[in-house]
Amino acid sequence: MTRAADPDTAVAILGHGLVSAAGTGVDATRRTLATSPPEPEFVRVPAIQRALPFFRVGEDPTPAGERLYTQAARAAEEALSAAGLTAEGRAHTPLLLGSSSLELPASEAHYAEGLARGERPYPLERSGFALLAHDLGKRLGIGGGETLFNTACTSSANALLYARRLLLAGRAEQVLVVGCEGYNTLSLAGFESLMLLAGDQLRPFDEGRDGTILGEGAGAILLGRAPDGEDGRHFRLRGGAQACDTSSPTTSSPEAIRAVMVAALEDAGCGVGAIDLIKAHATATPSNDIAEAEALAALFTDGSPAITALKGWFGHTLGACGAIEIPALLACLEAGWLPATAGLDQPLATLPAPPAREPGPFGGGTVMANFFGFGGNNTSLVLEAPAAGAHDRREDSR
Amino acid sequence: MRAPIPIRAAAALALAATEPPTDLEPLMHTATRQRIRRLNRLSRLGIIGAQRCTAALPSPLDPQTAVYVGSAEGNIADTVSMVRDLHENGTPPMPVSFINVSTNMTGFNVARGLGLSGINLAASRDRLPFEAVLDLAGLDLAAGSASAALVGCVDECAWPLEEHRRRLGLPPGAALAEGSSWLLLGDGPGPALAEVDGPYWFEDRRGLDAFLETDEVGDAGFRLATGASLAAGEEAGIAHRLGEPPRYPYREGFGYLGSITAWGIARFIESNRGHPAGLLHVDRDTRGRYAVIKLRTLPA
Repeated sequence: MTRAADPDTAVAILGHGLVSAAGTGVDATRRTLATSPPEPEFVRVPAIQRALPFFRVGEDPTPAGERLYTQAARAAEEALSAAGLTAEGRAHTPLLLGSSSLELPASEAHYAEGLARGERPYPLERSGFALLAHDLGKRLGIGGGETLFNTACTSSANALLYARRLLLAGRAEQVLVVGCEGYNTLSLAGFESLMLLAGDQLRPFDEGRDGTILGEGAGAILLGRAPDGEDGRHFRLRGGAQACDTSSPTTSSPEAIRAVMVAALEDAGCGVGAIDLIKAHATATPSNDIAEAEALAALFTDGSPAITALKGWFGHTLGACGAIEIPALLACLEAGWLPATAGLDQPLATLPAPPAREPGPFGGGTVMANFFGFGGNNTSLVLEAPAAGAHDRREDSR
Repeated sequence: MRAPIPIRAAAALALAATEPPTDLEPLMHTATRQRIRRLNRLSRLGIIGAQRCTAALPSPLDPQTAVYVGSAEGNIADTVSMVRDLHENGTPPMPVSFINVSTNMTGFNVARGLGLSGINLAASRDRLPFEAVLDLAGLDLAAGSASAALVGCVDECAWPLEEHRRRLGLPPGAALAEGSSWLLLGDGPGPALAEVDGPYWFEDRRGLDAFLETDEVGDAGFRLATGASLAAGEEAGIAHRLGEPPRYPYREGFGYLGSITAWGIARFIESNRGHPAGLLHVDRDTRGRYAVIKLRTLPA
């Protein structure tokens, strides 16, 4: 269990799963991303007597207190099933969970229902920082231990980074990463109090952007060693880096973003010129998009790779965005095309290249995925996408 | 066996929870010599503990020193307060309070106070928050992603305490504590005070027992400590298997503190500083998976 693993084969993406406003399941999400983005709902928040935009998962009759768990479990089951992991395999697989608001959506719903019934409930009747990870692991039959990552919007991206560490250290054969974020009033009211919410549309990297829109959902990725004979046919997490920018708790500086991208490239063992595609964080908040655009321009001085930003499809799913945006991106790339930046009309002039406004061809290559969060938490991941058609060959071989 | 990791500094802090809460300002002032405003209780506790840990180092920390914050309950006090204000009083969160509600803001504030810009994580595991962050730090040190790591556990209470006891499943009047205990691992200023090996994880008791019978565990001169989650009688069974080593009963006399292991480990290093002594710490989660930490303090 402690033999170091081969970095070229040990960190393949064996399966992924998705539940978001863009669809339930990888195939449904891919179909949505090929067409037009969902519209956010307007959710009335009694405490501030306003309706705020929010990307909800479509028709879901699950009670509010249970939605978070069912969405996370559904995404995880899809990833586990795609990888063909048996119950025996689950029993030895660790779960790394990334989430920002944790089980707050469930406990807040329970509390609000108690108040509505005229009872005398108290907030967070169940306590435990790792409670959601523990409960989800138990539900899924995961036996290799559950670790929570709570680093705001980088939570599940960081979970992916440490899944890679575990695999390279030879500590596990597979690692399940799940990111989930449920609807809760506190997050919505908090972003509103920070004046970070858009009026009605999330427009990443757009000159006319006016803020972000939150979303709920879950994503899951099973990482592990590619089966014999399938090397080069799977997406691979090649490396990444994380660092803390203490200059501001809410906005990362261009210098710090550039530094974490450079560190990620070093960890992945590739140069700037090797990057073919950037999946930007791009929350559509005024200052963060400017900082990321400036950082990208400062790093990619000799020609820019293609750029896309995905929050226009799901909303900003906070701690889950790593585990949602990467599988959604891979779902499109494995079909040979690059998803468009929904909501983009007039790209920021400071970007090194205009982000994709329409779906376009993608023939495989190296992908950089950026994630930034409150608390100065910056994470950049580097993935290797197989050449177009490789995925089909793998499917054919089964 | 993995290579043991040197420990350069340690500081254990635990405070009995009282009504009203202990004023942290004198401790903050002693630790930082500054008056820092607009920080919540969890961040204050984190800063106090981390500053105490690093205060006696002969030179400043490497700015790339990584920070790992573990917690059993996370930012519970602010979350409870804001959810109550929102739903009972119709008061939205204040911007600064909302930013600070994320538990990783504790690591941010610790890093900012110490001038650190490396890896910064808030993480946990069911019943084993200290083991969780120690494990992540060990992965980064082994991978070369960090050469030094500040690893701590921080826990606060939410007031009123009687409500908090119900939340934790404790009986009325049960003693509660808050804590912030830290270790500096890896390369760094000053000599190593101790070495830590682990955590080692076991999916069941059989795996734990097999490990306890290996020669590396059974070497001379260690004391046995067990965490709060072991079932009644388990400590006696483990001690019997190990040949009845002397105990380190660090939890005696303490109120509930979910991350008390961090305090116990840091306190062991403080109290055996300069004197060789060994510690074997065994704990488990609620699903019966075990974690073992081996620790050895070094001669001056």
